Amino acid sequence: MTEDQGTTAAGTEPAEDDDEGRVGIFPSWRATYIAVLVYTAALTGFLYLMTRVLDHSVR
Amino acid sequence: MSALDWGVFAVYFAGVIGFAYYQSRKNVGVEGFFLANRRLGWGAIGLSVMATQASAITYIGTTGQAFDDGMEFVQVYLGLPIAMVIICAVFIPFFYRSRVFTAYEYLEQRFDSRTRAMTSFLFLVSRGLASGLALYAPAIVLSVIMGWDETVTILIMGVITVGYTMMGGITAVIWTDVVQMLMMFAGIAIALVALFTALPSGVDIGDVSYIGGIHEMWSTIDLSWDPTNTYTIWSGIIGGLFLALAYFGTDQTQVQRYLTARSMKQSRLSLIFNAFLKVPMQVFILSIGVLLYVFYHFERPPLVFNGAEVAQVEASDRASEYAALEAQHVTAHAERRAATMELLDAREAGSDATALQLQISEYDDELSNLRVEARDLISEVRGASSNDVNYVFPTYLITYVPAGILGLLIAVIFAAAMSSLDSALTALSSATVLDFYGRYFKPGQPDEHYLKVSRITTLAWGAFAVVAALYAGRLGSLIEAVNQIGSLFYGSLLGVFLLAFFVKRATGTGAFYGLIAGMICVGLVSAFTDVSWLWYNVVGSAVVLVVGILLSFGGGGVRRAATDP
Repeated sequence: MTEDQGTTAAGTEPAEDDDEGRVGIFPSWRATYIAVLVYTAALTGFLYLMTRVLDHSVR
Repeated sequence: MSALDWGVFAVYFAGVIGFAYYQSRKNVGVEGFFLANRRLGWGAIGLSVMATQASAITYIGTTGQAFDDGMEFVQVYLGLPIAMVIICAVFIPFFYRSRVFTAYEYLEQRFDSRTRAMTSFLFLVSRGLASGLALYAPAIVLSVIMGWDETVTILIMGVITVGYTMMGGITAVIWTDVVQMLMMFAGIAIALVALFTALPSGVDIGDVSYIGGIHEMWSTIDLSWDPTNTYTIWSGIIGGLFLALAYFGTDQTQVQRYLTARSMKQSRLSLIFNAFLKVPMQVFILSIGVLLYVFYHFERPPLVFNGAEVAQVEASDRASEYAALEAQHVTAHAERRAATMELLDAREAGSDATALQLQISEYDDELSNLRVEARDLISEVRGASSNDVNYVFPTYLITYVPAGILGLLIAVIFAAAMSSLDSALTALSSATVLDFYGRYFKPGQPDEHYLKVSRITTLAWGAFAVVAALYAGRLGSLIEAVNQIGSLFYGSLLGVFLLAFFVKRATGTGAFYGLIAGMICVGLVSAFTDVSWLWYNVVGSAVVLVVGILLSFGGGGVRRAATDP
């Protein structure tokens, strides 16, 4: 480990590994994971919609 | 290729080598060589994770697949974002807190040395052979399409990749992956724009989606429950989830990438980045295939895209049969083109186009059947199966793309191949040196010794990949078979890690024999059922968990807490 990272008291985990901190625009990791799952559901829904709307088969 | 194309090509190679050299100066010791001294940020790692997964065949094969079958392949990736969440929440904390260099090292801390050795050995066998194929597959395509010598193509890709990987270790690999991935993004965008601009004037995006829709090319979601159907939403979400968990969570090629992060947060962010971007990227790549399908309504495509195979049949005593199929293809294509133009006029005029749609569907079927017949004929002549899916996109590039752009897009194919190979080489080297050499043969040596051996093993694995690629043509079916065997134990490997993370009372004996039972069961499912390969990982993981739990709870063996590295 390089010097600029810092460690916890135990010396085994980088200081940045706080599970409670903000993750970019998300307030926590839990919120980030939920956002990914919601995004996946929305993406699947979008692809299903695309399947239906762009289906011009006549048989 | 023109001088301009060669110029673009030269700039690409010079840029990669120069950038790798610049980055390699930051490496110190074995931890620097294999884990970049654990100091990288999520952006570089995230792009490297993506580049490692996107091989040349992903780039040229999936476009060809979409040209033939539409977008349904994208369903395979629907489980990936969920897998990323599970890896971030469960896998990464275990790997990170145990400060391991390889994924399999964790299994020794958690279970025992034989489980580590067995899993690492399985990785070395499968990834080593897959590296040969990763070089061979694009080289054979480029040799047929561009007329380049296959051996020279393999050697150029292999020698340059091995060179910068040996020199710069994981730091050079990750940063060149970043450049190569950005090139791939640019390549996808340029290919889409080039295809749109190559369409006849007056054909807009609405017409493109309409023509693709007549043959259900945009159909991405299949809700059927049939387990023998490879691409359904269920095989994609469930099977794809297990596949992604196995690949991103247990394969050293990927685990090594996020172990280079300066913190657990950066590791997780690199995977979340992929969770958001991977599916849209695949949609865009597959869209190239559908656009090609639409484009070839207006331009006549070859009956079969693999020119080398066509030359073989034309030189045989069945050349007249092929010529007859080609003549029918010319007629059917001309009729479909005329019907398509008429359909677009009718659509613009707002009149009923149902009869024309039916007519185009019939021409589509006729053209598809002619392709199948032609490939069957080639298979009979060659005495081996014919598949030209990987040749569809490169054939378009060489025929229609202007100078300069062609050089860039061919460089992108090289970038895709090299970014997968370099990651495999560092992963193979790390598993060889750390899981075997330093563990069993020469423990307790100074750091410089292991660094030297690491460079030598990188070179050795590179040489192995090049030799495997050079001989792959002759050993094709054997190498493919071994590669398929790799997919048989992927799920079982995942099962061992799931046992380690989720079953606190699991023992090394349970894990070891569970792994063997899992591989045997997947082998049986593969040999005696028609169940799609996407379900193999689910079966393997489930068997390992069940057998592992039964043996752990019923027998002896040393138990170690899952959180106790």
